[in-house]
Amino acid sequence: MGVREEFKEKARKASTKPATYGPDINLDYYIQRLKRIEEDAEAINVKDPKVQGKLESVGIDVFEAERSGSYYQVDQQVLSYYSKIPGVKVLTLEEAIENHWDEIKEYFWKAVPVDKDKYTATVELYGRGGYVIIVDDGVKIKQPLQTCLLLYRREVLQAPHNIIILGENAEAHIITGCTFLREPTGVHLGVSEFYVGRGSKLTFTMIHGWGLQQHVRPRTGVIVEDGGEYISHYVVLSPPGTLQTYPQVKLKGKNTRAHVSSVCVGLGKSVVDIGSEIVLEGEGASGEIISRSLGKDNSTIIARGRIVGVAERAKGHLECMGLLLSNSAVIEAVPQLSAHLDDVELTHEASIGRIAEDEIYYLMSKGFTYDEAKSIIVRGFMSVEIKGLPKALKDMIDSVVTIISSKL
Amino acid sequence: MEDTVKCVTCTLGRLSTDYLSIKTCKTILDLGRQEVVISERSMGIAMYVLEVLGLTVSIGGKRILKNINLNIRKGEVVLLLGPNASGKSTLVQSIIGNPKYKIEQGKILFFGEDITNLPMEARVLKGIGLAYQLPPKIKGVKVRDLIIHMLRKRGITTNIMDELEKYASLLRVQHLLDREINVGFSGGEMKRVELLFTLMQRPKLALLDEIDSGVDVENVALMGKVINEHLVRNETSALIITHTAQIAKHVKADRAYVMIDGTIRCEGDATKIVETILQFGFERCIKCARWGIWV
Repeated sequence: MGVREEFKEKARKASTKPATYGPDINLDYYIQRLKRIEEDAEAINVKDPKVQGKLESVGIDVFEAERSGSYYQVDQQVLSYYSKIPGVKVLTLEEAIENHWDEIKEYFWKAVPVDKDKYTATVELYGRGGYVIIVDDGVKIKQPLQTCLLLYRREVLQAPHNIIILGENAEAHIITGCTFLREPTGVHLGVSEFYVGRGSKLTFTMIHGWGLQQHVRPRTGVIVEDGGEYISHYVVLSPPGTLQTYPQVKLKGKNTRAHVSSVCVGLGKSVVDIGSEIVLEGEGASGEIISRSLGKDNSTIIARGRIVGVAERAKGHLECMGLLLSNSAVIEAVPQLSAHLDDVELTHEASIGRIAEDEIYYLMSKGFTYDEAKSIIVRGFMSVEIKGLPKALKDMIDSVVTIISSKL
Repeated sequence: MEDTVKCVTCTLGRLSTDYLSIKTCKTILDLGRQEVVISERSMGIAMYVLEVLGLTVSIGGKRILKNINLNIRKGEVVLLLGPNASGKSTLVQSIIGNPKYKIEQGKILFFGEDITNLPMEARVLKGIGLAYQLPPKIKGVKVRDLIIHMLRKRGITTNIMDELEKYASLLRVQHLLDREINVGFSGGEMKRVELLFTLMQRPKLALLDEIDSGVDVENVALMGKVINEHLVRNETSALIITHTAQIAKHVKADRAYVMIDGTIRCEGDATKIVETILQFGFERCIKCARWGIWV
């Protein structure tokens, strides 16, 4: 396949190109190790109670009662994948390239450039797996599809390339859970390219629970066509050692909408650089970025947000809130607005502070202990109003956030 | 010799500016009170829901309250009147146990039990409810959720929803139940939601801090009606703080205290005290002949 070789060539040229943001990771070490890690025959049973608990903490329902389909990948190895719904394909990247190339070729490395940085290049050169979800025109999935990417072996590199394609007037809800099962070490790179067709709606809920010796560099690009809507909510329950991500959502079509929110907890000495960008390209496009950062211990969180308005009647709002739970944590908010027409309306609000004592005492006057009051405030801070998310996903996020806020 | 300027608010109705006779009068009151307490203790029942005895309170090293004595009987509705910044909120915050307020001297008894050193939440569990004058915003926490959480924590699970709907509708705050606490609420809405919290807590003693300030006339009447009909029952007493005395027009109060500059200046029949204050303002209390004797 000549096309694939062109991508590989571009990737090779970018294989040492550092990312714009975030600490640099020496990938060579992990790539070398990758060659040594043999595909051991050790089978992982997701229904093993220990594994199950871990997966539930990142929103994965191993019994799949209320799921339309699933995809599981451990390290570089795909465990299982299937779809319950006609008109919806859940495939691995390899299978999609092999058997459905015509359906994906227009979307392969289109929303994220292969030579963006060394992480995207590594995914092309050394990555295995990644889910490809194709939803046909007019198909609306009520129950979410779940995808689960797990790290297992010591100092492993996981580099999947995911693609979601929604045809016209389709609807899908994806819940992605990423965590580690045994070794809190290793690198997770994930390229995700999402295409929301005309009049379609995609909701993407991602929950991450990492170990402090892991490094995570997701690379996400989203393209939304006329009248389409993209809603994403990213929760970092427990951070890796370093995390840097900056999803870019391009609202290409007319009257498109995007809501991108994230809730991130910084623990230990973790360094988290988490941001998002929405480009309002289509007439009447509107976008909203909401971020909530909680800094504990000696963690550092850099919360970026950028909205670019280049179309008539485009509207954007950015909200960046930080809560410091320790004296040695650092939160930095970097909101950016860029308007290119006088018809564009962009706003932002940003604030960083600690929990106000008066709020704690107020709640104590309603009968809560100091610690309960604190966790109610933290819980409230972490909750983001997301319109358009199915109730099941809202409830799931609520319970995940409740558990984590009670531990902070 | 009876004085010509008789104080209308005196509980005995015959106080004069004559120093000796006032002193005698106060002594009688104090003795009388002690006898009552002794006889109650001997019977094992507390007549007072709340007793504040010689309370001195400071914030950040600054003394705000000086030697406060105040009591509330079962089922009694007591007004605490006084101009702005006289220390009324400090007193209720001290009664509820806000750690910001340091008690330097004195005691707080709740049903005869010394609660002076109990943590805030323990006092609330014993049955003290406080409606804040200026409640803070709590982002991301909805009114309904906090009320349910508050009651479940106390083991109250039955009829929560019905009661919540009932009181919310009485107080016209149904539209606020699923909103974040105090985020974007008007002054009146905040006060009504605070009263809703207090009602739902089913306290034995409700402390209502300036629930009438910044509230329109119609809603003061509404809150007064709800307080009369649903909050104050045989088992519930209330201490209502107000500097405008507006709520006093709608709530049947038994007694009133007047606080000025961190001290209690007067105690007596609510109607008479409110009348005096509405007519003459707190000036009359400041100049009152009894001042100096009670401190």
